[in-house]
Amino acid sequence: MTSFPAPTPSAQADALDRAAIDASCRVPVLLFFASANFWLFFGSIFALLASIKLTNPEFLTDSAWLTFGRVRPAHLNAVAYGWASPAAIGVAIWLMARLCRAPLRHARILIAAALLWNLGVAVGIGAILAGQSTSVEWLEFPSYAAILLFIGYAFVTVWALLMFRERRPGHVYVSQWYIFGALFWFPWLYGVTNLMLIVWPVQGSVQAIINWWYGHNVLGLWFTPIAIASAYYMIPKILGKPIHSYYLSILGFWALALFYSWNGGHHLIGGPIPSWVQSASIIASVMMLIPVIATAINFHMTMVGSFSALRTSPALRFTVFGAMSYTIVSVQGSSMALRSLNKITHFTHYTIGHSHLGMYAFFTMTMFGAMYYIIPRLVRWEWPSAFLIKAHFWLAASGIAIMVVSLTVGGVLQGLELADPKIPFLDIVVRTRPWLHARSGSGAFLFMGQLAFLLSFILILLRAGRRREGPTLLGDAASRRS
Amino acid sequence: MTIALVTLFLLVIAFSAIAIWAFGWAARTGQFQNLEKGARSIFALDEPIGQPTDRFPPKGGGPAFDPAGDLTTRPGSVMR
Repeated sequence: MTSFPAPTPSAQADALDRAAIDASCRVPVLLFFASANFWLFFGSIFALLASIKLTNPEFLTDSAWLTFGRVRPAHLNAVAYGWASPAAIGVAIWLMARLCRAPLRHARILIAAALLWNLGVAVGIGAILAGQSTSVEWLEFPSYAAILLFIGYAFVTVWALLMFRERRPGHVYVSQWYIFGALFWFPWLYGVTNLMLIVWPVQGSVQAIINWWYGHNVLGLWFTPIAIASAYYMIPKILGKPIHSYYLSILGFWALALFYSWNGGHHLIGGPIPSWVQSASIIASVMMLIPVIATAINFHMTMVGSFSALRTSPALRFTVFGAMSYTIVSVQGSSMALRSLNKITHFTHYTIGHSHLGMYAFFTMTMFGAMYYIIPRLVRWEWPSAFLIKAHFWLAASGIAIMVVSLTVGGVLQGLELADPKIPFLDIVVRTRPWLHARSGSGAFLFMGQLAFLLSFILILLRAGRRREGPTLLGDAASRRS
Repeated sequence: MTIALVTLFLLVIAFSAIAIWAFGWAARTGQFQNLEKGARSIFALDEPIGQPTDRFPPKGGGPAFDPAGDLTTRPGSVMR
């Protein structure tokens, strides 16, 4: 084995502590990660079916289960609630345990949460395919599935509070602020929206306001904070370099908390809702530049001088790709709220490009990065193949780039033509086809990349590969000294 | 509808109160003070500042992945 200095007793104690914390997270975190990968696989198949149907409408229309109106929401819900949320919960659990500096306790609460949540997703997807969708975008699961998700999520929040109470003394790191923000905001959003749209439905255009209050906040106040929490831990930890400005990170958190929840109304610009709601939402969308720029400066300045590490660390490569995408997607989002641009891009494929830039290039890539860091420490085994990781990264990066560029360009052209009443509508639809073909192709890239990750994930769980001379785990001080 | 409004009103009060309390708690317990110390809180004696903690797995299943020794002594993978 490579020689290295024998750790001093206290360094050894630190290493053993961390190994114990990682080991304590193994079952619940891997349960969430495994289910996330399961749903990512099916969610991506639904995505490919839906994408092909846009260019070839006759494709798979014999069965009502596989019509576009069911496959498309099945995709959205499978990736949002099946993949993204369990991935986020898994990362949040591990970060909480590490940042509380204490081994995970009450694992049964988390296992119950994972089972309830996944049961809810399975029931919900089945209901959508069977035609029982609520038809409220982002909330298509009927109430009998939604309640399972809500209870499962409540378990996670309760666990986080218990974990926080049992933390060891020390500073509350900024990632924990983001995680607690997310764990606090999601039940609020999900609960209130279900109450006001499904249980006691409000009437008229207020429904749309509440729908988009949820639809946008679920991105900004649930998925975004977890991904930022992960990046705020991963980037400095992997580089061995404290975050550039801790002050900016705290400012970013409270500015996000203040401005984000007002953003949803920008989905309804020009719609039949009070114009002050639209204006307030536009202002808040532009104010989001404050936390976004604070976060971007922080990540960039931490990376300065260390960009060569992107060649050597898979977790950093995915995380930094995600962090850079966060800046791009957020600035783009602020610009899309401006009436002059919104007039062209709204109701076009441009918006779909924007949402994939957010949910894939930013969120999903950040989650992959976190998983590349976390899983070897839980399984105590090295990733089986650097080739599979590189294939995953390049397929994902090129796939999402092609998707966003084709939908953005196609969307602008579509929007400009839609604004011209002289052009027949069907001509515009036909002219979007090449861009949609490109989107299906890029989706195939993403799918292949995910298969590479799935293979890595299965192999590392099986501890496949040649037996190493020593254990591959991190922080096992005893074996390190051999 | 009355039940709905009362429920929502109570929820709004409860959630706002929690948010304000959290901000107050953070200020009271010194979370907004000595921020540079906060930035260093994720490092440990065996994973100190200046030491990278992740890299690609070695080709063909090489020796153990050890962040403390292997990574920093391996030529070409030293990170600034």
